[in-house]
Amino acid sequence: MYQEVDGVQVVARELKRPLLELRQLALGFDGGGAEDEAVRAEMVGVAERAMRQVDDLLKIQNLSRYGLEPIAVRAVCDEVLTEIDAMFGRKRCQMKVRYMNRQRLVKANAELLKSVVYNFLLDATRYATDEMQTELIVRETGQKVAVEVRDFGPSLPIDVWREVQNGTVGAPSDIAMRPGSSALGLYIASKFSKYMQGEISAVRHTDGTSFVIRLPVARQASIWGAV
Amino acid sequence: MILVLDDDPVVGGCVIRALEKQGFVGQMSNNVFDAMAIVNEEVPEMIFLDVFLTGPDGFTFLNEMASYADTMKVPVVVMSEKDFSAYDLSAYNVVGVLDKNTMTPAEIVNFAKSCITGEK
Repeated sequence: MYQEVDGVQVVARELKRPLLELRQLALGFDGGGAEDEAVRAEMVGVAERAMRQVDDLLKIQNLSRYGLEPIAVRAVCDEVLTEIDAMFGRKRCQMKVRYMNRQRLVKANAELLKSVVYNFLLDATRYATDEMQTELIVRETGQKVAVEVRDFGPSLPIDVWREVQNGTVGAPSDIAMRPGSSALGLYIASKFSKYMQGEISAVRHTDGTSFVIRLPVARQASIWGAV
Repeated sequence: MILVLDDDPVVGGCVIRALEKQGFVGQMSNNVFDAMAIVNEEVPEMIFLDVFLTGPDGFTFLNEMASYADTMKVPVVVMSEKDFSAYDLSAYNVVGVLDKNTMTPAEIVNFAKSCITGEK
C-alpha cells in the first residue's frame, strides 16, 4: 500500500549521520592552542544542538510513543537549566529563574516538555549578557501552567509571530523554515505542545521575545473530592 | 589489537584515532564478513561494535563470536544510536554500551584501558 513520505522526516533522517560524524571529527580534532580548543568546543556544540533538533524532528513521526502523565514542571526545567549551564559553561546567575506556580504537576510527557523548554532556552541564552539576563518564569494561568522564556535578542520576525499566534506553525512553510529564525524550534514546540494538549504563543518586545508553552494542570484523584 | 566494526568510515576512523593516540593498535572493518576474517587471523583483545550494519548486523557477529571457545570471552563495547543500556547483553560478553550521539574519545579510551590494561 502506498504511504505518503514526510519530506521533513526524510531530511531529518539524512541529516543525522553527517552531524554525528561532524561531532566525532570535532571531538578528535587536536589543534593544541587555546584558540583551537575554543573552535573545537564550538564545533561540538553546534553539532550537538543540531543533532537534538534532528532527533526532535524524528520524534514528531512517532509521538504516540510518548505517554502523557503528571509531570513536575520544576524538575523538567531544572534538568534543562543544568544542561544549558554545562553546554555554555555559564552559571545560573546569568539567568533569572522564577517558579510562581502553586500547581506543580502538568499533564505532559517529560521528554517532549524538556525538548520544548530546551529549544526556547537555547535560543534565548545566546543573547544573554550580565545586564540582559534570560528569564525563565513558570506560573499558573487558569487551568494551565505556563512556562515562559524571555530573551533580549532580536524581536521575533512579524511573519513568524503571526504564524505562532494563528497556530499555523504546525504546517511548515517557506517562512517558518527560514534558516536563522527561531522557526524550527517553534515548529517542533508547536507539534509537541499540540500532542500534549497544550499551546504555544510568543510575545514580541522591542528588545526581545517571550516564548510561552501552556500545559493543562494534571488533575489527580483526591480523597477529599470523594467526600 | 582492538577491532572496530562500524560501517560508517568517519565514525570508525575517529574511534581508531582516539585509541591509537593512546598507544593502542586498532583495526577497522565495515562489515561482519571482513570482521570475521580478521578475527580468524588474530583474536582481538577487545571489540568496539556498531550494531546496525550494512548486511548482517552486529548481533549476527556477536552470535558468531559467542559460538567459539577462543572468541567468546573477548570483551565487546556496543556503539549505537539506539539505547541498548536497558538490555542484558552479558551473554555476549558486552562490557559496555556507548551512545553514538553522545560518546567522546575519552569514554572510548577508558573502555580500552579498563578492558586491556585493567586501568580504571
